[in-house]
Amino acid sequence: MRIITRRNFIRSAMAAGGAAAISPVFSMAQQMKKYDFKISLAAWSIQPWFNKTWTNLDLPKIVREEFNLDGLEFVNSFFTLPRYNYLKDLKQRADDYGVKLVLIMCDDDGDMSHNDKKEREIAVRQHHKWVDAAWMLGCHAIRGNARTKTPGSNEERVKRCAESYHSLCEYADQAGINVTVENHGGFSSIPEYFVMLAKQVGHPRFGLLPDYGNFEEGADRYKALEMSMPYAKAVSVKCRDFDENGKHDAWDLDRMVKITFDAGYRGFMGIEAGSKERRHYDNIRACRDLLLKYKV
Amino acid sequence: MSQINRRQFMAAGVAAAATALGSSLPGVAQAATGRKKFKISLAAWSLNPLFGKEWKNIDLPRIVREDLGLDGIEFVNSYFELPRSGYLKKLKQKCADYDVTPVLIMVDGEGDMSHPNKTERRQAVINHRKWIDIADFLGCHAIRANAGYEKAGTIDDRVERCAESYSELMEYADECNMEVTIENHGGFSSIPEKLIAVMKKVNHPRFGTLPDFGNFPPEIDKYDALQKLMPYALAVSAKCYNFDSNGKHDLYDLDRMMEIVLAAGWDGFVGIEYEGKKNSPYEGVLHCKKLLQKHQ
Repeated sequence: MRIITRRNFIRSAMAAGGAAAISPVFSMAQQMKKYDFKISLAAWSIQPWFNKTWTNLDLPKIVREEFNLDGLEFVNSFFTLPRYNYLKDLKQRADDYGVKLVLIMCDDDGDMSHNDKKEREIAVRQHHKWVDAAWMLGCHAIRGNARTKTPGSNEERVKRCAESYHSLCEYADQAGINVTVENHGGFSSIPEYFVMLAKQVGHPRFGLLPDYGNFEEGADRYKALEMSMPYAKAVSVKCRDFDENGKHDAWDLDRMVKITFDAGYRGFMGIEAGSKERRHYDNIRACRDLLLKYKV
Repeated sequence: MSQINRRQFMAAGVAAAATALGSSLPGVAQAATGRKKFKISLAAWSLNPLFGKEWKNIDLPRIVREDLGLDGIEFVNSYFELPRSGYLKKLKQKCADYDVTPVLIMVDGEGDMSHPNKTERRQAVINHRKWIDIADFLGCHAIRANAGYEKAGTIDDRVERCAESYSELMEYADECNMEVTIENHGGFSSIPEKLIAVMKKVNHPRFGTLPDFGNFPPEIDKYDALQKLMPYALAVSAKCYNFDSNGKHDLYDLDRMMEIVLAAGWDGFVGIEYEGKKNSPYEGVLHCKKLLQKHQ
């Protein structure tokens, strides 16, 4: 049931703005440097309830009504068969709720760093459909993976991966779609190799999608983010549980956000909330409120 | 690309076959060498009434081999689950396990290839690309698409628009040598001359027809129509409906249709597409199989 109208949409947005104006957080934030950016929800944030309380088609409504955010980052595994009418429906819903479709995170569509060239070529081809879907939906990008279990040094893996992504970028470029890789396991979570990949792909359509939480254990996430940001075309504001005072213990989220903005990034800040206690919904809101402090 | 496909082969061989026909009596030569004249596949659509109840796409290889004793499958895209590599690998493996050839994918619901609006046509072309990649992944030799149903303009205008779309699609199909076929499947595609006009305009060795025995309008002579389409055929659908008390196909002479197919030099898969109501899908397919086997 899609019953929202632009009028209720504006009304709820105004209510949210009004509440912020009198909150103490807002006055504290007065002195803070402000940035012009938007906030999106990474669908993965509410993954535990997929196919229980929501399907992919419900996401625009959830993004707007549940969290009042402006953008949505899909995960391909949540799609049903992505044929024309399905995608049209999805896009219409996003338009109805005034939600911008930002990107599609693509998993399980082949190994872009496989040591067998044929396998890599297949992976590139299988990603085409997500480029096409992204284009149809008005997304600016897709996000792929880099990790592999196939043999080779990390340098070799980077090289193989870079070749695949360069080829994918050539396809995506025809549609004006960006291709990003996330630090998402394997060598991609090691800051040096993550950045090396971006340099080696060397295509204007290619970028990184740094996820605040996914650098390998022991890596300095602040330094890693700083290194990655010059190549970033999207950002995952990964967060874990917030305490009752709205403090994020797992890492200094404010510091990560500032690094992101200081690097000149003004794209969508994609909230990707995790939780050890199924408090994903609360964490999304807490993360949103933290981000809103920085918004002009 | 020196690969010769069935259509080029037939174009060269059809004249020779026609003259040779008188001397080579059906069955005899082949029986001696043990080689069948053609193979029989199942068009998954035959089992449509039971889809989602008794079977899923992934079950088809087993059904085709164990329940029906056939050698190939013609998939329908609407039966697919999210077509990512993991799923497609499983499907391909099942085909290998049951020694069933994935023949082609019938593609529906991906936009109108002869839409009067150029943007819509362009979108339709892009929507079809993924099925080419999926067909390639599975090892199919072709996809089957539709000519389009939008009625704006004269039939010749529609032919023109359709040909333009398919020419574009063939550029993509060329990258993996995929064959693309159009079925006589309603709209102007069921008028042989018009479908042939599209063939001539696109004029591509891997672009052809998929003649379906049953899909011609009543005023058209089916035998004549099939004969006209066969020189362009890259796949064949042996559509059958109900059988009379003697087991003979009652709507048209299936033997005569098969003779036309074979006289055209066809030695590929003939796909059983049972749409009768009197028998269960399984009984219908098995009966059709018996009728086709007489010609092998």
